This record gives sequence, structure tokens and C-alpha cells, in this order.
Amino acid sequence: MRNSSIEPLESIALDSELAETDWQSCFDHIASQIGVWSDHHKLSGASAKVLFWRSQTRSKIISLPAGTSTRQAHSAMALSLIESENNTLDNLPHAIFTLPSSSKSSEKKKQTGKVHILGCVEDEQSMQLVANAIQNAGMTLSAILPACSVATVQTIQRTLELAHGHQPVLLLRTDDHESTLVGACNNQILFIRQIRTGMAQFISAWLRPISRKGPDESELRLTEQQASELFMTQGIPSPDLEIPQYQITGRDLLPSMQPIIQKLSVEIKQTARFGFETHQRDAVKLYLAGPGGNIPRMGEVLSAHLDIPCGQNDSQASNDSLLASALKVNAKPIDLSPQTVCSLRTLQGSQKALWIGVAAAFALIMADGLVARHNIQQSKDQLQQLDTSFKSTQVSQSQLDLCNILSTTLAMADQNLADAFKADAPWPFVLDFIAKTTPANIRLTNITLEQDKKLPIAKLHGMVLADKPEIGAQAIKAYLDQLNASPILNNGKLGTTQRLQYNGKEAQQFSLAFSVMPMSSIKLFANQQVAAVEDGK
Amino acid sequence: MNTEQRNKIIAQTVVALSVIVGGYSLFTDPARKTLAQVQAELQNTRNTILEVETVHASTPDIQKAIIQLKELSSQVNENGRVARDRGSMFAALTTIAAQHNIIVEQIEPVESADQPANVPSDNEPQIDALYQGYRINIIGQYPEVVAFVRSLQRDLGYTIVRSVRLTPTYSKDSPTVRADIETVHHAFDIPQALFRSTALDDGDTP
Repeated sequence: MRNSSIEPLESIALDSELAETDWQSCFDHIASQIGVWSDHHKLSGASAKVLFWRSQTRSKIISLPAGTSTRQAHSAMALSLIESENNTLDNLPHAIFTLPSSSKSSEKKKQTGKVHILGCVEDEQSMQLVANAIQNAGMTLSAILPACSVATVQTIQRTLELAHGHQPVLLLRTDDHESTLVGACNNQILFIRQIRTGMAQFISAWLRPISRKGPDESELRLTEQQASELFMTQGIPSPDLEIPQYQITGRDLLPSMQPIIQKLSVEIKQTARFGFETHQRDAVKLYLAGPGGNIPRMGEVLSAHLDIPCGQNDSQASNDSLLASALKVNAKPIDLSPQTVCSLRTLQGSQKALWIGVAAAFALIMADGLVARHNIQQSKDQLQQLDTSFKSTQVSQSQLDLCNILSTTLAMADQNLADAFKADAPWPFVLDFIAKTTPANIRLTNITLEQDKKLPIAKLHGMVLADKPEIGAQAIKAYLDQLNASPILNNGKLGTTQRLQYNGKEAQQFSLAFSVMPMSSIKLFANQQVAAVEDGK
Repeated sequence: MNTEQRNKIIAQTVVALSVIVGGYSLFTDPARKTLAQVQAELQNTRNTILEVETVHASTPDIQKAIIQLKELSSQVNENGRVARDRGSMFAALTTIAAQHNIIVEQIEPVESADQPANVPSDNEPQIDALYQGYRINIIGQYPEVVAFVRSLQRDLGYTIVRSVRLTPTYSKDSPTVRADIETVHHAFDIPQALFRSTALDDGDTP
């Protein structure tokens, strides 16, 4: 196909008998020719869709009641094919395809018509030959389509286009080797029938000796090419038609063709009888399509045999070759590629899907990574901005930290100070008190104020002038009591006493010891006194 | 699909998975980890800023407190000066004696073996503590000696008068006493590093 149109670039004549008997040998010839064409037209690397016809292709159409699910319908067709093949379908190229049974506009409505299933089976070996030929020619096999299936699909689609009203339609598509008959009414396909009668049968009929009606009654033998040309130009001749080229008339040609027309007519009539309702049969119109639609008088003759009016030949369908139909049709469901090719295709598909998945995953990873990096950059920018604002407030934090450190340090210093001064005593106060308390008859010879084992003590040494020991003792006791009365001198004890002479007078020597209230206790005592005074108020 | 093709697909799948995992490990995973770290850091910074902003609002009060604390610290250090500096000690002692008409016969420092141990610590603030003892022999009238002792305790920093021994001199001209006084002078210095702090300087100029 070039520029959206089919160019019949090359063709090769085949020995039809050889194709029937030894298809492999026949196809070897075709395969070598395909290679030559591929080189000539530089088709290497192109995608190739193969449309083939083989008499050995087993094709079936079954119609199932409305409402049958697609799965059930396909299973039924598979069972039918297995039964006819007497083998499983696993190793055989096969296709099972649901044919359209109504027009697209009515498909939306609930399916009320029958379900028509097409199934066809081929030999693995034969399909492998086709695949090898395409592969050897450097092309990629896209699909191998059986001509019969393509013709059926195309005919059905065309029938639905014609059967858009209440007019019952009977469409006969005649190809080279077979015909497809489709009946439809009210946008619904009623029946589909494949008839093994095609143009080749008509042409073959004229390859046999033809007796000339006349004085000499000689026989005419046409070659296949002559018969083909004659059929395509004259079609089904009228009895009075004269063909000067071969000195024969239509009356000479018709007898050999009559059984084929008869057979075709019977097939159509029987099919129509069972496919249409009675009232539909009376109104049915026959249309011809495909290459057979261009055969002169084909419609006229069939119409006469069937007693059915023949509609205008569908020129579009007639001119549409099967090749064009094959290119239009969705090839996948009716592809008969060999299992090896299918496996390879599956493998390639899996590989493709795998690597697309890898690419997609990699793209996601890359995208995710890039997004993450973008977010990192954004976060870093934010961090930088925060750092800037943080620095402005950080001074306050460091000041608070310093404040705390200073407070703690001062508290430590205060604690150390308190520990060190725990035993400090108010020595001047003690000395003042002693000075004020000491009477004139007492002479102190030594005052010692000291911290003894961390406790402040006061020791007094002195003498009292007294003629009598009793007076001296009383004076010492009074002195002791007076000192003890002080809140800061406690636990006053009299030490040693001794009589002695002082400047010629009797005297009593003594020593006193007191514990001195430390400064810390004085503060506590003072606080308690203040509190007591306040409570008293 | 035959076994060979299936194996091929499996092998390619393994390679593909390896490529994907490798790509993720090399490109995305490190970036995601870094992102998590940066975002955690960002969150921490935000939290810190929230805390600091609260503090920031009370900056003037903090600065006032720093000034007061600094003054206190300076006072503490000043009070410990005589413990550190013998020259200052003699000068101060002489001044006090002159004020109270005291004759200082002898001033003798007493070496102390059991100085407080100052263990430096990175975590807690430390004070630099020490003490210095003196033995002082003076002569003066009793009230002046008492006043001298009072001045020692009151005007000479962190001074502890550990002992006072008074004995009369029995002088005919004026009744005086001889006093043997033992003093201990303490210092609890606040580290100078805190004074050199920028924050403290900032605190000087609120």
C-alpha cells in the first residue's frame, strides 16, 4: 500500500492444480518471488499483512441464540473446531471471532439478534512457510489473514449498511473461490453462509471442451487465461450472444455453466427460505458484491433463478477488492500467524512492555529524584533565610545564657561565702560587751577569741581583788552570770581559780570560757526577734 | 511462549529490576535521605527560633539583669582582691591601722596547704576560690583595737578574723593592749571570661 491506496505492483500466475495438491511446492515458488519483489521495491523492514486463500483452510460460521455471551459463543466455536479437526487447537493457528450482528447505531440497544461466530483453522506448517517467506524477504509479519474470513467480515459490514430500513437484504459476495451470503433485516444480521462456489468454478467450467452448435460441431478448448478473460467480459452470456472471436454463441457456453448456477441458486434459495420470515422473503432484494458483482448478467441470471428482484449492484463493494478489505479489517482477531510467530510476538510484546515499564519507572525515579533535589534546594534556601533571622535573635539567647551562667556562678560564690563565714563571730561586739561588763574590781590579763574546731569561743583570764575568798568567788560568779546574760556568749564555764597576791593585795585568779554565737546564728536570731516583735504588734 | 523465551523474559525482568533498583539507589534514595535530614534540620531551626523569639521579647530585661549581675560579680571579685594581692592587703591594713591609731608591729602571711580545689568544667560555671591567712601583731588602746578588728571584718573584703589574743601592756603612760590577730582572707572570683563575653558587652549597652 502506498499513499493510502493499493498498488497492484506485482503478480504471479499459479498452477491451481499444484496449489491444491502440493501447496508447499507451490508456495516455495511464491516465497522466492516475494524475496525478489521485496528487493526490487525496497520493502525490507516493512510491515507485511498477508492475505491468502487456500482450499485447505477450514472455516466455520455458527450462529447462536441471542443473549449468548461472547465467552460461551467462543467456547462453542472452539469445541466445534476441535471436533472437526479431531485435535486440540493449541498447536494450530486458529482464529475465533465474533462477527458484527447489527449496525453500530443499534448496537447500543440491547442485543436481540443472533450471535454469529467465525472460526477458522490452518496448518502450522503452512502458516510457518508464509511467515518464513515474509521473514526471508526482510519484512516483518504483521498478520496472516484468511481471505474467506476477510470476505465474510467485509460482506457483513456492507450488508448492514444496505439493511438500514425494513427492507430485507440478501447480499452475495462472490470471490475467486467462494461466495459469502448474508441476510439482514431491520439492521440485524439474520444469517451468514459461506458457499464454496466462486468465479474460479465458472472459469473452470469453460476449460472443458465446448461443443459448437453448428454444421461442423467442432470442439473449442479455451486456455485458463482465455476462459478468465471471456468470463470477465461476457459474464453469464445470453443464449443468443455471439462471440466471433471463438466462433461460438452463448448457447454453446451455457450448458457447462448451468450446473454451477443451479448449485449456487439452490444454496441461496435454501438459505433464504430458512433465514427469512415468510413476509420477509416476499420483500427481499438481492445484491451482489465483491469481484463477482462485476460479472455481466450475474445478478440478472440469479434473480431469474431465485425469483428475487436484484437491487442495483453495489459498485463500491464490487470494486473493493478483497485486498482492500483485508487492509481495512481489524486483523488481530482473525490472524492465523503460526504459533512460533505468535510466541515471538508475545515475547517481543512482553519485552516492549517490560522496557517501557523500565523506562517509565526510570522516568518516575528521575522525576522523584529531581523533585527531591528541588525540595532539598528549597529547604536549604529556607534554612538560610531562617539562619539569617536566627542570628538576629541568637544574641538574645546568648545573653540569656550568660545571665544564667552569671547567676549560677554568683550563687556558687554566695554558697562558698556562706560556708567560709559559717563560724565567723562578732568579735568586736564581744570585746565591747566584755569591756562594758567587766567591773572595776576585775582585771583581765588575757582575752582569747578564736575559732576552735569551727566554733567560736571566748576565753578570759583575769583576777578579782578580794580580801576573802568568798567575796572573790561571789564577784567571779556575778561576773560569769553577767557575761552569760548576753545573747552572744553562751555556756560560760569557770575554769581554774587560784588565790594569789597582786601588788600586796589578796586576789583571786580565774579563767572563764564561753561559746560565742556565730554571725550566721545572730542573723537568724535577729530575724526571729524582728518577727516576734512584728507578731506582738 | 516456550521455556527459552520465558527464561529470556525472566532474565530481562531481573536486569530491568536491577536497573530500576540501581537507579533508585543511586539517584533517588540519597536525595530522599538528604531531604529528610535537611527538613529535620529545618524543623529544628524553626523550633529553636520559636524559643529564641520568646527570649528575644524580653531582651531589655535580660540586659538589665546582666548589668546588675556584672556589678555584683565585680563586687565579688573586688572583695577578694586582698586575698590575691599581698600588696593591696598591706596597703589596706596600714590604712585601717592609721585610721584607728594602731601600731602594727608585724604582719606575717601564713602559707596554707589546703587551698580549695578548683576543677575546671566545660558544663558548669566555676568560680576561682582561694584564701590567704595573715598573722598580725598590733598595739593600741583597747577601744581602738576593737575598732581595728571591726574594720578588718567590715572593710577588708571577705576577711575572717580567726582569733584575737589580747594582753595588756601595763604601760604607765597610756593603757594599751597587745593584740595577736589571725585573719583569713577569701576570694571567690567570677571568671574573667564571662566579662569578656560579647553578650555581656552587648549587655553593657542596652
